[in-house]
Amino acid sequence: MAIELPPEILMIIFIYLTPSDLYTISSVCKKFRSILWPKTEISQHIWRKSRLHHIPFLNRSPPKLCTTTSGTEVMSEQQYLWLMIICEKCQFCEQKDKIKLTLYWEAKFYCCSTCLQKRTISGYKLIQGFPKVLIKFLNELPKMPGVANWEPQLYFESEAKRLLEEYNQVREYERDAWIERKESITKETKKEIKIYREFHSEFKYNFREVARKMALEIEAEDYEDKIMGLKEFKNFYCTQLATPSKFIKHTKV
Amino acid sequence: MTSESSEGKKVTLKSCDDVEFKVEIPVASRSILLKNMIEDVGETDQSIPLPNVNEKVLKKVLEWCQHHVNDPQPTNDDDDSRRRNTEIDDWDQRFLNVEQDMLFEIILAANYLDIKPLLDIGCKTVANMIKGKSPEEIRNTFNIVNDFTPEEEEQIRKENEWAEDR
Repeated sequence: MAIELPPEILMIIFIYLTPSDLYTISSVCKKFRSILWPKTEISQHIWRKSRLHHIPFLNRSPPKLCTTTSGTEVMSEQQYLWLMIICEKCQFCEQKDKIKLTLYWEAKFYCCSTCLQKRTISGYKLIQGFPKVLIKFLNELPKMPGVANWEPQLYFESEAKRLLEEYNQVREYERDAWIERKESITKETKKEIKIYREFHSEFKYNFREVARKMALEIEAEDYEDKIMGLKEFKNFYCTQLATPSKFIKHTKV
Repeated sequence: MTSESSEGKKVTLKSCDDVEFKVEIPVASRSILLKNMIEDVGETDQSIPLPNVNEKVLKKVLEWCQHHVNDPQPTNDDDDSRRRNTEIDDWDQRFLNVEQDMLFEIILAANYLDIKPLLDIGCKTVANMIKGKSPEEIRNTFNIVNDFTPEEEEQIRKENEWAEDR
């Protein structure tokens, strides 16, 4: 009988559900999925209402990030909710410590540094076979905690691949216009990413967690020189630990 | 039409299985459909046929209307504020503690008769039956057949984790 209810009534029922219940119910049967999953005006309305009712602090609309050949498109409510609240572990492995996880709006994934490294490509490597003109449209990887052997330029592999595909579809005589359009889109996207990165951090992490995340960043090598006295502190700390006998003697005295 | 002038005056409603109910106008007016009809037609001895509601359901709906006869009429503006409140008061909870089929029929009748507050608490009750359950538990609760093939289920799992947009 539930399945026979008209869509307008199902819609009212769905609006009362939490986003995670909406994920569940859209996996129950074809009818429910057809209402909730495709990015239609109705589905977006349901997910938006559910978001605002159940998570009032998540009051910012989804970002305008998905780039298509015709411009930018607003991310679906489903994907937005998934990235912001539903996904509680690394998207690629079982890492659950949220201090070690970071949301990358550029590539739309929430993951740990280890899995991130497998999905990035260095600027040097990219030069081979990648039109130079496209590089400026890519998002550079933001500095993040826990990544060793930091290279100056890292890019998201999926983004580079998608951009190249898009570029190859543009006819040669249209390329100048495409590049011009892309330049303004890229500018907007980068602005959007910055805003949403801050929003996510404020939304997801409390003060203590922000501090722990920062501590992880301090451990990353490339920050050493930028923080006055950090290197000295670390050196002192390391020598003390490396020579325990001396340390013990001292304490005995 | 003020409530004083309509007090005591009755209107006759006829269910789809031809049972007549004599109802005070303020009670019947909880239904926006009936309220508009009564206002349009004026005083009449003829019964109003309700082809979508049977005796059992109509009786139940009218019981709700009687209990809530003095509630303020909802306006369109407070749709959101009413919906945000997920609480259902005790009397309504007891009232909706019925067989599942009956619950759905009340919801359908409330929708047809345009009784928004009743429609809302009905839908809230169904939503509460869904909350926190797994897909399989939801199917069992509502007797829904899983019409996905194993391949489709795998596809859904991937879509739900946004595995393809990487």
